[in-house]
Amino acid sequence: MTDGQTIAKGRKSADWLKHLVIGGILLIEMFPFYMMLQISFKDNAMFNRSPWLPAWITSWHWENWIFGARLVTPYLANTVFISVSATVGSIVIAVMGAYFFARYRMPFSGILWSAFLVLMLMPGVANIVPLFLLLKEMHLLNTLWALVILGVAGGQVFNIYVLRNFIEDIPKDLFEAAEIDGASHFQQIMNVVIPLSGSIIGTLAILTFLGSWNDFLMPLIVLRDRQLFPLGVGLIYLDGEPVKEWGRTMATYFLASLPLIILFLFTMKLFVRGLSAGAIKG
Amino acid sequence: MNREKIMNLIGLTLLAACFAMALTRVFSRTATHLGSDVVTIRFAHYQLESGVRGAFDAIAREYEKIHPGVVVEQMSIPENVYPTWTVTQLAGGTAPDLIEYGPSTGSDERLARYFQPLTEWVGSPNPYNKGTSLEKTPWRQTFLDGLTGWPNYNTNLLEIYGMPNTVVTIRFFYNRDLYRKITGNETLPRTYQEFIEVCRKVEQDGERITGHKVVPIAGSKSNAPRITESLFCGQVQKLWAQYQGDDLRQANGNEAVLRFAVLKHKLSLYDPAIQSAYQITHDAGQYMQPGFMQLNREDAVFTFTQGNALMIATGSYDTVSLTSQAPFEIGVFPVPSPTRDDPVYGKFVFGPATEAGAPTQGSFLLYMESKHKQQALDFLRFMTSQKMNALFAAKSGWLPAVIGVDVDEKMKPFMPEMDGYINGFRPYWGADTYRVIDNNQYLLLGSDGSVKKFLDALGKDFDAALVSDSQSVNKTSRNNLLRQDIALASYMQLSRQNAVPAAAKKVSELNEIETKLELDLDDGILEMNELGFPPMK
Amino acid sequence: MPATLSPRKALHEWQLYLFLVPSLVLVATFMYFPAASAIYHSFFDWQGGDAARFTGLANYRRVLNDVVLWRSFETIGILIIANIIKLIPSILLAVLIHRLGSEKWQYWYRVLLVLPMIVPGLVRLFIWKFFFDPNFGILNKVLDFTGGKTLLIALDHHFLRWGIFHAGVPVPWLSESHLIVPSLIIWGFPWIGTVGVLIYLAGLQSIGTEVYEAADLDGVNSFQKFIHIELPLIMTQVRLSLVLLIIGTLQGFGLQFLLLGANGGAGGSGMVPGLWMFNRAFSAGEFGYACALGMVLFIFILALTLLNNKYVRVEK
Repeated sequence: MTDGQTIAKGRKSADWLKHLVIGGILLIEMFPFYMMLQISFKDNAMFNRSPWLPAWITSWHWENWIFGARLVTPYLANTVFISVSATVGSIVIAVMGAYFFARYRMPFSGILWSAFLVLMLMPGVANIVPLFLLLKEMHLLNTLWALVILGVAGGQVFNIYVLRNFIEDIPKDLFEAAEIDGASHFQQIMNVVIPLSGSIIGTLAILTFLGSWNDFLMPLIVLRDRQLFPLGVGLIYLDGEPVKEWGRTMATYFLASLPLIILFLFTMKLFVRGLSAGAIKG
Repeated sequence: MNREKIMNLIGLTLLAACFAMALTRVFSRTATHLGSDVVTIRFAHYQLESGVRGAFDAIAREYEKIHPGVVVEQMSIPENVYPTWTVTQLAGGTAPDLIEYGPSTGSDERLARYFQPLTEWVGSPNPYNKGTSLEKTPWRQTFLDGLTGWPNYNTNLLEIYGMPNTVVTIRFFYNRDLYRKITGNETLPRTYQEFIEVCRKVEQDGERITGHKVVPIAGSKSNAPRITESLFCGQVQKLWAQYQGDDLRQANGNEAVLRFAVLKHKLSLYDPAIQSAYQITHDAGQYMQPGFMQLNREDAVFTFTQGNALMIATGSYDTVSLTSQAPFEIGVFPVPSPTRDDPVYGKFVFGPATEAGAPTQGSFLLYMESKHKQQALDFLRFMTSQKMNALFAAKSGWLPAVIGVDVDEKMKPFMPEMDGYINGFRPYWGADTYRVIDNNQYLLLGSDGSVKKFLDALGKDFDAALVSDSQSVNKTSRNNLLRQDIALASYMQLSRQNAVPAAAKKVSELNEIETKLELDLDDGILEMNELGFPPMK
Repeated sequence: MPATLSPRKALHEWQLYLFLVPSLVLVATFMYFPAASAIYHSFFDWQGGDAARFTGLANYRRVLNDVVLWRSFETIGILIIANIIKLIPSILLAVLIHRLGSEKWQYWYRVLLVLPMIVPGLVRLFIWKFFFDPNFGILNKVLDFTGGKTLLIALDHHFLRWGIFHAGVPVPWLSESHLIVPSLIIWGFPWIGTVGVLIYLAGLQSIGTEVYEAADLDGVNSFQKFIHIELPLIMTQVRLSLVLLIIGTLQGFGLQFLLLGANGGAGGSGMVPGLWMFNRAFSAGEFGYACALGMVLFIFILALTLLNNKYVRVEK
């Protein structure tokens, strides 16, 4: 008892140093955030005069935000469309695929599984060129569908890998009980797999969503029309403007970050838990 | 339901709502595009300068007014992604109908492969010039330079590919207030000597007078060459004339002659004229900020507009940007050159060079696979008519490319100066030599740079690069020939069958082109063989 | 483990194969087919159109002599080493947070950590690019303010002799050949990978308090605790991070593309293998050669991955 208390006290006294260090690091991490915010209200001249401190509230340039909003909204619509479609499609198909591998050891499943695994080892770098040309042959260039399909296809291997492990851990009795009750495989997925794998599916969904949201390379080379651009490409174009209005640019960046921040505030617990669970499994 | 589940549910509903909105937006857009008889012409460019986009827009609207059922769409691509964008669009077959000539569109390969030669249409008058003095003038002759060279006329392929919108001249922009303060008067330098005097004054007195460091010239990796190249060319005027023989009047001389002279060691980089040219480059560089070769155009513009530099050299296209960004009055004068009686640099020059050859630029190329080729061609005619070019010049603040367009007072100093001598050559003979020179440039410029250090360092690398570049030229020539062969053969066949009336004429045209190409190629191969190098890579 | 079945049952369950079909089709079309196509086209001189001229091994011969490529491998080597070193702050931070007494603080810090990570990758990148801007950027302003600039000028003058740091001239971080690699290394300060920290934290949590109490009784100090208790237990995660990092860095080029452009920046100092492949394909239009480059890169990375996998499994 007393030993525990002494030890606990001993640990607490050294804590302030840790807090200092961690706080310091967090401050640096938050610094870009702060800069983004306070610059977004200035114009170039104001920023040049006083780069560090926020400007007086009366001199704030709210129109930077209007500019940002007008720029970001069409891109946002495209990005939401692509990311959500790709995530939903990817998860649904991956669950089905993982179910195949996890439920029974069907003939040839060994070979098929190796086929999937090999792809995990394969770096994507060699694929960009042929992928572009494949899309050209399929007349999918300059469409959003191309990006959705690529998003779905790209996520398969990792998602199936993780999901298979998870589904295999579900006790077989649950499946057998459902089967005895006359459930088809589809119903077994709906009633057994999904409820139990909720957290891991959620995590995978978020990861897939993030991956799709941040992608800029394929959209850059696949799309031509400005109205089809997702956020990534839109931001690249913004960066290429010769005369940079930093205030406007920062407002645009902030607005581009906002949707993800909102999403995370809602799903945060899920994500953190999901990551930790995945980590312990190793 | 506990709090967490509620939060998740709200989150999901929000997401679903956003998705629904996004969906409607995406699909409503595609709906308006399909199912319409609207012909859409798209043109892409990378001129993001203020005013230019507006000017193009105005022209597009005017065109739509007289052509209902046609929509003209402007696509502005930032310069940093322009090469990637154009290559992917061209390779993917989704390119817009008109593309601006720019980095990565200009190679012979790319031009011949993806773009429609316009030569057959430039001989007839532009119908949109009806009612003006240019009514009966062939389209080609309506431009200030008659489309006789880069970038519009390709000398290897012997075809016209581009239709321009502007002409570019280089000038020195200077800070009038600062100039008055430091030199005490308003007289502008007319010769190189006077120019250096002004620079020296700024260096000596600038800080004392203004209270902060002032650099004479704002340099950068893009602005510095404007000055140094002009000075370089001036020094090699006589040398160039030597090699061109009687062909002095041609704006674009034969650079192959020079290339082979260097390869055969008949002409060396240590030739006094060339050394002097590099020397003057070094001298001019002394008056720019230290480390200027690493800076970008925006950095130089920033230095100038903040009043930390007296002058900046750039093209006429920057007038609007500079005047709008600078809080002081800006004046303009041409890049001065040494006169014949200059003690150090006079002996190599004839005199100031003419700007008659100032190429018309901002050109648009016609995509070969365009779905509305005739319409796009028509739009090109419209855009380059006198009336529309005048509109363009007025709205963008750029110089016009078409003859007879009035230029407003502000832009008058930028109009090309026709009087003058031919210019010399620039020290670049291809991609590899460019790279070698670029890598060693710091030995020439910079405060402890010298011509000797630079030339010594170039040494073997430069020779190897020159060989490589010559091989590339041969390879390109051969490929061009191969391409022309196919066209020639088909036209010959057509003409034999009397299937297409114009075929016979085309055959004789192509024969002429082929002969020239073959001769050039043979020369190239011969020279390389003589030197003991494989003619192509 | 999936249940084994009798052949008869397997036949009965044939519909299960249908469940796999979508995945298989997608993966075959968009991953296997392009890979095969890349291998095929690497033997051609191809600019992306219909015509491709068979050139056999010419592309590969060119790869072997490609100066730019081998130089880019050097650059990426430096970057990999730098990235490995950059793993350390994440580990240290995880340990620090883990050692905090109060559970509540641990939770809050975790939340605060996730926040910067949410900022989309591109936005973070562009904000960092802004930091590097010579005229408006924060890095130069900080250097001027703290006197770091004077230090750099002195360093340059006496030691480096690069001639790039001058008084009164803004430091061109991304447009000066010598500074590009340092810029790429500095990028991302303080180098906390939030996902990494969270995963390490999760791993550390499995360490029971008894272990710490025992160590305290033995008089073990903080540093030794780190080396002997914490590090070994998160080793698997660290190793995984390492593998992912090496492979990711080797093939990555997005960072360089966005910061420096398709040519790798001034003097091509930022050219990395992936970017060179992208450049040859999408800036020069040499698709056949780009495929060959891709193949070479792929074999390189595959070899490394297999090596790593073997090594990692054995340790487990």
